[in-house]
Amino acid sequence: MRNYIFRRLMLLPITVILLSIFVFGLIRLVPGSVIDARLAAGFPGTANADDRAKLEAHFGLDKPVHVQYVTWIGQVFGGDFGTSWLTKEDILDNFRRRMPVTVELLVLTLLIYIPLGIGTGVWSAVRQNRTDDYSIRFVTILFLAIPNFWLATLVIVVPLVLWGYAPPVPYVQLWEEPGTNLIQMIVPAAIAALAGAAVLGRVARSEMLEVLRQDYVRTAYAKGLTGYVVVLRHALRNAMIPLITLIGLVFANGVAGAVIVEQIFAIPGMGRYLVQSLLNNDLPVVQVWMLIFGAAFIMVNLLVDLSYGMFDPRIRFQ
Amino acid sequence: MAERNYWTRMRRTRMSRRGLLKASARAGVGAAGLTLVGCGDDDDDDQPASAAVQQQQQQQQEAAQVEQQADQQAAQQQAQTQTAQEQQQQQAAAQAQAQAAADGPKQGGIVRIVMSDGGIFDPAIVIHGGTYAGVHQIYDWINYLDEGFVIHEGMADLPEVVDELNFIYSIKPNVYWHPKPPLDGRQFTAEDAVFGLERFGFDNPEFVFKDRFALVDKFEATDELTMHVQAGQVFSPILKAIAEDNMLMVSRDAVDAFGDEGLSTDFEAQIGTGAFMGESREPEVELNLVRHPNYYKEGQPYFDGYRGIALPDDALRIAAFVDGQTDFLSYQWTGAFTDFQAAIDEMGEEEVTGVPNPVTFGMATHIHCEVEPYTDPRVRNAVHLAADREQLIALSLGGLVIGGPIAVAIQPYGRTEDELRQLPGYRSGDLRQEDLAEARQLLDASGVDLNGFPPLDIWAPNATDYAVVLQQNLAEVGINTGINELTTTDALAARQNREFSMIMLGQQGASDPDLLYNDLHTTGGQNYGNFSNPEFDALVEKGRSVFDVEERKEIYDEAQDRLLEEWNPRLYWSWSTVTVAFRSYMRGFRPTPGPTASNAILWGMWFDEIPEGAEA
Repeated sequence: MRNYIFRRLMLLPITVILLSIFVFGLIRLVPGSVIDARLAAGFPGTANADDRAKLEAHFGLDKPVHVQYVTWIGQVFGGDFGTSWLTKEDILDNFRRRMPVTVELLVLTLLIYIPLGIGTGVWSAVRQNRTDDYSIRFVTILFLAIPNFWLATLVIVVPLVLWGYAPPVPYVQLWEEPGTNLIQMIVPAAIAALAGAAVLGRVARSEMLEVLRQDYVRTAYAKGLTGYVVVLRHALRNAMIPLITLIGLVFANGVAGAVIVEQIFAIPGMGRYLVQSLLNNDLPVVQVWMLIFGAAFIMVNLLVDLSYGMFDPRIRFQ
Repeated sequence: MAERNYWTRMRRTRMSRRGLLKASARAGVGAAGLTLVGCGDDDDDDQPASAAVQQQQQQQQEAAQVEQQADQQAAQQQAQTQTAQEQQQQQAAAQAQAQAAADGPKQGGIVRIVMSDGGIFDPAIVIHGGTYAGVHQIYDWINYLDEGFVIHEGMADLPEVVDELNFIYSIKPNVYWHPKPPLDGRQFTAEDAVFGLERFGFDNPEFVFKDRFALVDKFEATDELTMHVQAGQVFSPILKAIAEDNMLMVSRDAVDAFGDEGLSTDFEAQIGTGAFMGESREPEVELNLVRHPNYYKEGQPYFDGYRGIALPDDALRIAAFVDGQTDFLSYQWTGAFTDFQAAIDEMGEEEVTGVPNPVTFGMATHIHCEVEPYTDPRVRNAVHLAADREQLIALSLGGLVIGGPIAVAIQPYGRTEDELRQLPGYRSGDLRQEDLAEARQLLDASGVDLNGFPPLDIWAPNATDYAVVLQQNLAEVGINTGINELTTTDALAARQNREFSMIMLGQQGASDPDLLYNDLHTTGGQNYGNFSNPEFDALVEKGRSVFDVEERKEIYDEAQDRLLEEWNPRLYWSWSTVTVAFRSYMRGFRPTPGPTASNAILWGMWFDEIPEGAEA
């Protein structure tokens, strides 16, 4: 196992380097440029070739692409994430300020996502083809179908129309006003979690149905164990492997959800930072953002792989 | 009189709660993009400039013309441009103001305003109108543009016009910088004014107003409180250029201490002469300002502070306003207008006042005059005649008014909706059928392949609905064209690089009819469609060299007539109406048109009763 972890960790820098090349190249394939946007932003807008050249030099875009890449990746590995082209703020400072906000959102999302997804899936499987099973399946399909940006807008508008209520603004930090912060964060976290929980619930149901038909489950019942013990200790544990894989993916889903809910609920986290940067072709921010979250996703996948052994002792790491 | 049809009925229909719900949900789709494209809001201050103007009048020919223009503008606007709804709302505002005058201004409270935080403070760099809303409270103008684009005295009196090339500004002796180092509350001087204006032209690749004063030979401080402006050639809009809302004065001391980078991004470096001073900023969360104790307008501002709350999403903006967490809201020309209006209707007149605030930006369709088939003026004229302005405007549900080449807010030059509705291309009913028949004839005569039209590039999603209508209009005369949706950045880039055949996008206005020079002169910076016509060039060159309002009006009338009848280098169809909404406990608001709708000037407003949560 130690060797396995070591090998995976050794592969990490190579993966990150490849990821960085991919990210750097991909962003440059996107149409439009910060130069065009800047030149177009001003009015009367009498920009000429000289203005363009100056701006390109200002942003370092006058150098060959491979030089730009080497310069950038060297700075990133040296701990210098650069500055935003849009706001000129230090990107690392921004990450430090925003990351806790998004982490809090992700943690809350996870706290809703896992119990809700697994709980509804297990309940639905145990109560197969009964009213509550049908109800849960209907609701999960509904949440799969509803886009979270629409749901988020609805969550703001409906209480406003019915009761004249709006979520408290502006955003406050958790350590400043925990109560207000939780009020602000719990709804966005729930919205980010719902679609994922619906998927998790459906997978959990099908896995549980398969496990519940196994001989050892019947044996457990025959031994006189309570349904609670059979389901949670014997059946659920054996259904967990695909669920763990899915839970690992919640990181990616959660980040994607954060991008949307942070924008709608005015939460100053990493997702909103990405939206703002993407809309303004702020390449330094987008590059570092994607690199950081790509690397984090690789780490999460490693943890997921390692956790398989906990749930299934037959799995060996070689 | 416009006929009643589906579109006009829809425009006038009051929204139900269900409608609000549906509309707000729709708004959520496009709201995020809009916040980064849109600007802030406008309002303006306390006292009209008429007395001061009259004082200067005896010696200042220019100032007299400006005032004359203001009178005409006010009369024409009231008589011609207001719909019944607008009149009703303005009456409500007038009543509120009359009530305010009776009660008198009251000191206290912190005004809470929704803003967008673009993260850039330097007035020389235009990145984000939302940030400007905060910047406008910190900095101030030498002169500024009041309602109807009338030049109003600011930190300096109205200029003495020595001749057509020379202007003398007298700085007021009681204008002070904020009491913060390195300025430490010292007097604002003519040297400061010279630096502040010259800096816009400095050789910094990010400064976007470099050519604003290209025709100015020099700004010179002749004594501590006197600035001499000398133009290199006659340029009639020069006084307005100095008074435009971007022309906020920053100090050399702050630039020396913090550098250009610091002035752009460091909140601590924001030291101005404005009504409010910077206190704290949490990026993308809130901006807190406090009252400038030595502000030159005696007794003002009335608010103790300003709290800008960064809310990027329209649904949350509306919710926060309805819920009473903000006091002031502006909403504008794309997407969310319906939702804002519905929210205001729901709240009722007792709770909130909505005031239309004409501005000089809008939607237009730029035509590339060097790309087939639009090289042929007959094709451009056919497109002009085929476009159904009533349908297009109805889609905005009140956010846009029908417009011609010069914005209606710029009086006496801009054509009103009623004037335009008499013209070919703007007409309805049977007359529109005549226009369509003429369009078909023009297309026949041109011999253009009606199925070979390049696709219409559009700024999506903001222009998507309009583009669909225009596509249908063109189909009425046999033109088959597709729609090519572009993101904001791509659409701006396509326009900037002249890589389009016809593109539907916003158009920036200005405070003066000289905007036509930038828009369409052969050398104009915003002549995106490469239109070139010696006769037109001669007209707009003459327009910027003439000071007399009547003479200028004749010139620009001719230019507009010929643009719409012969040349049609753009498909003109709209200008915006920003609506400003404020709570009924707020007093002292005056609508002020502006080119960017971001200059929320709050020094003349006050709370009649300080609302809960707005206590200092």
